[in-house]
Amino acid sequence: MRKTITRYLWLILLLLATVFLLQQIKWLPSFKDVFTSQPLEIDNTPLVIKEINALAQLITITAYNEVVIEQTIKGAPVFSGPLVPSIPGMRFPDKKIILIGKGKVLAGVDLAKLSDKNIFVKGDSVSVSLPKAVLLQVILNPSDFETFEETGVWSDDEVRLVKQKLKDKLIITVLRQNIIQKAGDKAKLIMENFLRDAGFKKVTVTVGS
Amino acid sequence: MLFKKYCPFLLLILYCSACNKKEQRLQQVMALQQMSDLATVEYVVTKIIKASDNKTWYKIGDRKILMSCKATLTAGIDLSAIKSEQVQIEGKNITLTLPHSKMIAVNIKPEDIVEEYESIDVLRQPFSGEERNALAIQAETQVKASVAELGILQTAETNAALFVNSFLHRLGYEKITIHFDNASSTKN
Repeated sequence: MRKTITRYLWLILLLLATVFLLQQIKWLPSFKDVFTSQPLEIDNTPLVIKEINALAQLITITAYNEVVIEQTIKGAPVFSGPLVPSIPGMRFPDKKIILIGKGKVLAGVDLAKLSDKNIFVKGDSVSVSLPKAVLLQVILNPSDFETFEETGVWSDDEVRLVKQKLKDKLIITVLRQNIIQKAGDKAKLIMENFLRDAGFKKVTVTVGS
Repeated sequence: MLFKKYCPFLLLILYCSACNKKEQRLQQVMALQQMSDLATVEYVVTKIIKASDNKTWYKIGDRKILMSCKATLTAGIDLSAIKSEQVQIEGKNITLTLPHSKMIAVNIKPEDIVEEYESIDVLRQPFSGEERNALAIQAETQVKASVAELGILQTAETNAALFVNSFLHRLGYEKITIHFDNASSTKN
């Protein structure tokens, strides 16, 4: 009798061990996966080209930065209708969102603004007056955002506004790093090298301010 | 007897369960980076983000969302890759070898992702900001994966050749030959 029980126990143990092994090598789904929420996946919809624009932007600096923004919206009074008087202190709970954004800002000069009057050539001497350096792109893609905390129901418009504020904060942070000046200096250097490679002996490049 | 019989098998299971790979995480460093990219083309594309949350068996009711997004793709060439030996000058003739084009940026601005439609059944929670962003991340991945099919890199090279040609013409060169490695285009 005891021998039979032991044999059954070993068989059960062996069965469990086999299931465990198969789960480890991903041949069987794990038990917790059965109760895990399925990931939400989007359909593979086509891309539609709306515009094709020719550019001539000399990008000379990329500034990477990380900024955090916190936004709280106070809860509305529970009774806010004209017929029912509002009770002080009776409000819906506040909602709060904290976003972290890791973005990058591209700066440089727009060479499309170069006209004939900005280029002066005489023999082996050249003088080029570049337009002033500007921020060309601020990149904060969806994958650059992290939601650190989110309480309450945030509408799409509300979240978008918070993200735009975060973008503005990123621009301010990056501008403090003197990126425009650095972009102008680098553009000057690139243009000088290019003109020397193009055969000019005396090269003068200025950047608008 | 049985223990001896199954012991190696149990040991194998223990070994397998102990073999958890640990991922090494690299420390990100954020700083200013100098570049020498000439952006020559910008494609503005749109995409519909469509998702239905009805695949989890124990959640009663569906959630559906439809968003639209606009992405700006920028491509161009890296001017720092042009070496002095890639420029040949003979009087008023110049031959220049430009590097092949590359993607410079994919930009999906927060204001360009707009929710168009949302349907939530009574027993389901509305989509959170984080969930909507997760869907937008998937769209971003799909946009990045489709770059090759858009032909943006070819357009970037054509525009780069046109711009460099026009610039060198202003500098006084009369015959300008521009190569992209093996392929070449001659503009007079």
